Amino acid sequence: MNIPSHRSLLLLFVLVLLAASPLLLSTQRKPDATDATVKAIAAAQAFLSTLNEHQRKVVNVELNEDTRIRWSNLPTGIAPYPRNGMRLGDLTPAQQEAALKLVAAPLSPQGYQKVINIVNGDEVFKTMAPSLRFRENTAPVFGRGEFYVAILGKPSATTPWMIQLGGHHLGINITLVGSQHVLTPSHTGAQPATYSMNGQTIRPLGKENDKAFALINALSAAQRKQAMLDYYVADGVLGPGHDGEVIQPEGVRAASFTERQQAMLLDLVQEWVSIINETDAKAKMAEVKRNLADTFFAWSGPTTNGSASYFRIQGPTVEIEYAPQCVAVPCGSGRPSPDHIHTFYRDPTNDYGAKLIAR
Amino acid sequence: MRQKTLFAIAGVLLILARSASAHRLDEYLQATRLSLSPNEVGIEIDLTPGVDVAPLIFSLINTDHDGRISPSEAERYANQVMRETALDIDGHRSQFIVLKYEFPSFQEMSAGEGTIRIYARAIWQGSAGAHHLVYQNNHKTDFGVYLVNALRPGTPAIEITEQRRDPFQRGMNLAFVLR
Repeated sequence: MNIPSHRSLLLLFVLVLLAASPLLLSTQRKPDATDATVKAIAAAQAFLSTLNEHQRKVVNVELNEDTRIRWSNLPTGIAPYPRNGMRLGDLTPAQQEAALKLVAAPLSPQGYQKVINIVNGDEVFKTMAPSLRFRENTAPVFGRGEFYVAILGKPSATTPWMIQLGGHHLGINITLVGSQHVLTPSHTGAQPATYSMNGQTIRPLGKENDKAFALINALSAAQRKQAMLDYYVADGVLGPGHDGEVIQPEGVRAASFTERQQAMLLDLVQEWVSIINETDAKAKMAEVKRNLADTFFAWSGPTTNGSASYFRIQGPTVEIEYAPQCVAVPCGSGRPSPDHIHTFYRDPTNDYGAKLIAR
Repeated sequence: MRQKTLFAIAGVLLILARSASAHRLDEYLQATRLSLSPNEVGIEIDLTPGVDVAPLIFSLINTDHDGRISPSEAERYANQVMRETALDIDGHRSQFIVLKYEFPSFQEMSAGEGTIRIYARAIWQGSAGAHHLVYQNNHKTDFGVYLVNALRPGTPAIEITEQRRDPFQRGMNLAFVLR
């Protein structure tokens, strides 16, 4: 047996180092969309492996035009159709953990936290709403256990599939197409808009609210006049059931904004866009920025923070709606409240990854 | 004194219980979408009665009081809603023709979230140039709340140049150009 010389050993070491270098590089770089895909597939497989055969069939449904639209702002019991997947409340703690890891995989840490804050908010709302006056057979049900998790299609690095987490005030619809991930259409909401948990004050949509009020107040009088809708907006218009509809834009065009105002608008849009992971969010924000001149900002209601005011951001590839809802009685004279918010986030060109799937 | 306090507490509890409700109670949400094309105006109206007004709306539809909405009752109500809207194009009254409709069950309506959806259209023959459309929803104005929006035209042949609404969105004025 020949003993390798020092020279040969050195050469071997260099060759091994070169062969391993892509791996070393890939572990050192920031997580990108590809990593998110790999993570999501692994998390989906891990979650599915915790389920029995029946549960797997319920969680993993076909991805098609009928299944993907099954999201709603409404709670279980009064949503217009059953949501896809299984209730978190019907899963064991280990299964719940695996389910939430799946949801977290393609999201950013702050996006996932927003989702959890909304879920926890509904648990708080459950304690506030024991006496809801709905008929017994259609009673809405609230709380953490009433959020449904589903996988639509086969988790894949090449063919489209979806992850959904939905419940009262939450419709997270993530379409995964290869290395790209699309969050539109999605719904976030809150009631109560502020609550306390573990000694912390939580405002699931607080930044959206505060940044919007800051922006409307940063506009000049002329810009604000253009932004103002001179009518009352009783509800959202971009919600579930309205896929493919694009309303005629209104408000002030961001082309007239100063650099600072444009930055504020982008920062506001980012609150929805950055629910998805950093790489996808960055690409989406670049697209929103490219179309900024054709993006409109419209406002209905008072401009003092704390008021129940409606706003809409509408550009060629982004639609965002923030719509306070009523909570008081009578609803008509009570008007919307800042404590009950619905928001919708859409891309008229790429809801459910339409643009990517068409390629 | 004690009785007054009890009444006050009961009142507060009642308000809390009701104000915790996340959804519409005594309103009838009517959301309209108008779509323009070179030879017709399409309309989609979503009507969602709140919990408190759902029995009344249901009784208006379910005229034989058998607890179910029959196809003829649905058709009658859809036509009634459309008759109570008004559409003028360039100063001429146009009639909506109901195309289809979807009705929820009484249980869904009772929950305050069942939505009636009506699709209709009005025919018009526009020549190239500027036009003006006026739409008004007069259905159940005593407890209706309204939304009205124009969809972005699906053809470059039409450009909406101005849209105005009344403060409660019962009506809309649209100026548009047909090329």
